Amino acid sequence: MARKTTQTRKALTTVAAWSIGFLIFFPILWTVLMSFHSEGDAIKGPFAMLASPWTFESYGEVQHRSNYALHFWNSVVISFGSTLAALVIAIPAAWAMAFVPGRRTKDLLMWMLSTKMMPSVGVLIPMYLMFRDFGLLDTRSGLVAVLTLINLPIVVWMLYTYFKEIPGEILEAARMDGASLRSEILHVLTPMAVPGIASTVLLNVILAWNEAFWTLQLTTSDAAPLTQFIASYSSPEGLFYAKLSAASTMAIAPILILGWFSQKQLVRGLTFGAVK
Amino acid sequence: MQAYWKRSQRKLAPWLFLAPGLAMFALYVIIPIFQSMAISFYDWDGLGEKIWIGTANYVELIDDDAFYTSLKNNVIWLVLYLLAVPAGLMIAIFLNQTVWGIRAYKSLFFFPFVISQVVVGLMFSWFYAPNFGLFYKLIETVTGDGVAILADERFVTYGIIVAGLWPQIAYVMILYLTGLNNVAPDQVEAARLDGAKGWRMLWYVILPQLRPATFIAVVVTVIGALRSFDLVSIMTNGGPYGSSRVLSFYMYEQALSEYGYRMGYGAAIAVVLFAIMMVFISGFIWKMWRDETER
Repeated sequence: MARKTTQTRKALTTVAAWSIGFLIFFPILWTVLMSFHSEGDAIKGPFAMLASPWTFESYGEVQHRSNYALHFWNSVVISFGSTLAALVIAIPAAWAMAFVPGRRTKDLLMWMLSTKMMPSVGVLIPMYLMFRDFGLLDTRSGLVAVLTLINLPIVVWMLYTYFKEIPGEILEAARMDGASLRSEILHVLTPMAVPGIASTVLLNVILAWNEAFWTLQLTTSDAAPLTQFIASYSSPEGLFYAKLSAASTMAIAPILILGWFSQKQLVRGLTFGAVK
Repeated sequence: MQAYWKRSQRKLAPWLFLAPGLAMFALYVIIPIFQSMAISFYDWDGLGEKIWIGTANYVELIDDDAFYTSLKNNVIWLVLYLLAVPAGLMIAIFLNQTVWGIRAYKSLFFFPFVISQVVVGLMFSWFYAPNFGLFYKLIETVTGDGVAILADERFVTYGIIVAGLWPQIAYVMILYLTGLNNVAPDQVEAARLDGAKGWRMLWYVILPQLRPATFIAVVVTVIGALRSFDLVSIMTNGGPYGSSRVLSFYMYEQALSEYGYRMGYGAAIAVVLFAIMMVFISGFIWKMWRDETER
């Protein structure tokens, strides 16, 4: 009897849980579904759209109208470039904070993270002027620089959390064996922190890939990543939902696949390493 | 020189290592803040002559209705966004039992997070779209009368917030689900033997062990609420009649959009925004951080 009730209960919770999951996943599913219907069918209402014939025409038109490969490549360069640049700056800084902590280290960390709470638009005017004056508007290098800056706090914070878990004695031992500072960091610390660094890289690539504010403000065409590619299908004359969905699907597919295969690292990244 | 470096390398290295990071922060945070402050005292279109007008921008701001609408919306954003924390916690606790296919299931919650805000905004615009959007149809079926959420001054801000909450709740859920893996089962068992159940169990036994997760959840939620700019600009452009503006969007509209290139006025809004942030948000986060580390 008792066994039966728990079975029923389990079935019920499973059904409820999958319903929540479906609800969470639904907007994405819908976008993908919509991308396979024609523009006219997409605005007929939900059921009429599902009943209408499937077609690839939206994808064809998007291919025809914009240069997906260029935007894709821009996104790759910008997200990986900025993540690598941030790592180069952050690894030494996180080392200093984790292994040579001062009285103010924690405050410094917190201050860095608090800058993430600053709305980007607050620094838009000065940044925009700086970009204009240096001729960096609509260039990939300009965007890499900006995304490095905005993701740096998170990279430092995450690396700090991971480095903290590595016992200082190991570095101490390497030092005793005559390892220079450079090899201590490059050959002892970094290899041990590889899982943490991987999570950090992954999270930041995703954050940079999705970054919409600066990419939309500072690029127009040449350096425009996929966010700009999607936005170009939402025109003031009205939205082209089917084409928009096709563009969105093409833009998010690479990152969804990346996320799917690296969920474990991603979870650590998402929790900033603070929750195990 | 070389000898000096060899001798004091260990002492100097931490400072040298922190320097590039700090320099970058100065470039991105400190210099722009002071620059914004300076610009806020001028009347300037970004290209021509700057004209010193003292505090006139701020005086204008005090009587600007649009400013108060935006400020009110910012508060609504922040308050409603924080609901993502308890909502995510509830779902996580609910899911933290044996559910068939939990591994595949959890993946569903990753997807909203890895999607750009641009896509989120556009997806929800479709849901709300009059005459054919799913949500519109739903309301029409239930109440007999459809509401164009994004064109209605009463609902527009809430409609955008729902779009933002969608990935946010999924994120918080993942955080708590990860945290729940770590809750010590023996403590839960001991509390159960002592007769703790339901809310009391949650409040006194489980939540204290979830504090790191709660800290991160609050931090990312506040960050998310302040990023309202992206969704507002994608979904409504501040409309209808400016009713869904938030401060950051209003600032952008004043300073850099075709509505005017009033850099000075925009900078004044930015300065007010900074001031509000410093007082409320950093104070609040600071306290949580202190509690967290001095425990």
